[in-house]
Amino acid sequence: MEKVNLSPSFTPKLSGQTKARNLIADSGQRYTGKVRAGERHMEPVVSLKDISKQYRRGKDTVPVLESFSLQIAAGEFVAIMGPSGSGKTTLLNLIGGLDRASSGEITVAGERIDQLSNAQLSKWRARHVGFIFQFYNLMPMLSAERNIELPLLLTHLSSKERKQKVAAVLELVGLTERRRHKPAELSGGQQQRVAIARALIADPTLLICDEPTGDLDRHTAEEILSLLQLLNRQYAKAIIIVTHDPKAAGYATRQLRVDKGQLLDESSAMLV
Amino acid sequence: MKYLPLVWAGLWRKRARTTFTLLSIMVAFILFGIFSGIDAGFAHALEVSRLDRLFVDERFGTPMPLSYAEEIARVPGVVLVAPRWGLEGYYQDPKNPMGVIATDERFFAMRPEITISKEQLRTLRQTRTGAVISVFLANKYGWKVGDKIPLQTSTVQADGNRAWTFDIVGIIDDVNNPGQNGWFIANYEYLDQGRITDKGTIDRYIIRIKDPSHAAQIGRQIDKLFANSAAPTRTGSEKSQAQSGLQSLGDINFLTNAVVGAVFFMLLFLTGNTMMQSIRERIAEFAVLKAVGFSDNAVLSLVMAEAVLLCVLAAVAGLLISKIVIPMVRHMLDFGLLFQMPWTAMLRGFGVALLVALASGMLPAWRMQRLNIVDALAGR
Repeated sequence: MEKVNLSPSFTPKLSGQTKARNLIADSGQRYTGKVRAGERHMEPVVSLKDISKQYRRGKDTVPVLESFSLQIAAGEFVAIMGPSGSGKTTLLNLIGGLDRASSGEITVAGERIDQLSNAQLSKWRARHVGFIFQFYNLMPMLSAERNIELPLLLTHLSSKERKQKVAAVLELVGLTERRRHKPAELSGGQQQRVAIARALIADPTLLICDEPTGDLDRHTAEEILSLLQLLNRQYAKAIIIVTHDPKAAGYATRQLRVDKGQLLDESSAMLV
Repeated sequence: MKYLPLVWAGLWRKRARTTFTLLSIMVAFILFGIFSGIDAGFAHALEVSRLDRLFVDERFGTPMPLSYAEEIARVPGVVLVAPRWGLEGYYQDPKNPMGVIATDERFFAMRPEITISKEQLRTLRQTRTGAVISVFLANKYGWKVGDKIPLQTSTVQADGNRAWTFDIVGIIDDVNNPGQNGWFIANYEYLDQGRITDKGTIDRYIIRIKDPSHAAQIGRQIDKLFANSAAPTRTGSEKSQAQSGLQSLGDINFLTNAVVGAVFFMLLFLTGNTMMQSIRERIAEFAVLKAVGFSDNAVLSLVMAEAVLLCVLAAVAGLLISKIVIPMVRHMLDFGLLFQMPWTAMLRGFGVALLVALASGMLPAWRMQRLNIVDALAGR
């Protein structure tokens, strides 16, 4: 097992991690292309073929992505970088099934999501994707554990099972003591860890992070990125992160640069 | 049930706003309860009034002689005739009005709903100044058997005194309105012998007929009998009298529906506005719910559940307050008998609350169902 540079404040015990892995990885139908921890796999978890996306702004049509193709393997940690308006977030939204392409094929976790209805897409998202946003987007009236539990409400798990899973994930992100706190009572870093726990709770195939450290100070950002790296390495989660920060991108195993709706270049990053 | 914490948290996002909305809805349903109570009271009054009982009243205010009784009894279809005189007065203070029915034992045969024992009836007959009172009056004034009750009236006695004293010889009740009717029944003979005017006359004959379907025909026959006399009559069934009596108070049903309708129309906008404001502040949160896998319909259901919870909670509280308060208040009111709160009115209120919730929650729920996740997360 690789050593991970985690701050002691949220480094979970190994037994806790194992327990968490066991608890979060048993919620029914899963993507079969998933790899075991520590392995890399060339089977693509994300495949975009000739994707175009235009938005309508009044009478004008604004192209955002044009003939965009990309493959991301299961278990990869990919950073997408580029200037504002380059199409990074649109790309992320298309992969996460939040938006629809104007043309092209999108296959994620073995499913042609461009062919799914809205209802099917909702179910698919619940099963395969965990989202982490720049501003955390937690429910302010709910405690940390209730926020984390949200995606599990859509499953058939009993209250007891849901609680067990929430406890395990809380331990994984080092927030067991803060489980009853509401978002306003948590720091930015803690809120983002709650968001990560919420993204992770249903054991998704893919974690999608839109500027996850954009609202955090350097030290806290590093903690969050280390946690994401841990999830990628130890739990083989495929992670796609959009960032402006080259240091944040450095945590990824692969970096993509996007500009004006085109994939410019890519490079494999050194492991931090 | 697993979604309840989520719905509840959404509802209490702005505590002050939710509290005031709840209070407004609650007050509206208390009002609904009161008007339903009046409606139900009127309906009950009509329900217990009988078609086989006719009232023969003086047509132009001239009291009818006692001799009418025999003539009325001879009309085909008439089973029983009971004369009575209504003595109006008050007890101690004009604020305590009292109506005394001066009659004889035929009155009790006419009104089997009054529970009087043979013993009480015999005592009443043997005591010239005797009177039986209902449980309601006994409770209200603390009267008991053996008490002497002086009543101030407008009817003058031979000695010039307007006060009439009655000896309570029994406490009775009315099975149609247990503990509610204010009966004060005395001997006609005592009144008639004591007064100096209108001697030997009656202000109402109550008659029972064999077949209620012949009520109109019998009524016409009776009125025809005395049409050319000094005291012409006007006959109608107890039910029609009750109906016209209630109508003389105004079209209460229309008034009730109009007021309640206006209140609920306002409530619809109040609740709808609260819901719209509430969801407008939480657009990003609903977008996140959709992002994590909540379907469009699940989000619609969550918003509708919030609206239902808001309205139903407040409505149940308002209706329960009405249910508790109305029986307490009716004892204090002279028209308390026309004030009831049956469970059917509660159910109707619950149904109205659901309708208000559905109508006010529909638009915000529909908007959230159609919410575009990307636009909402981008704050567009």
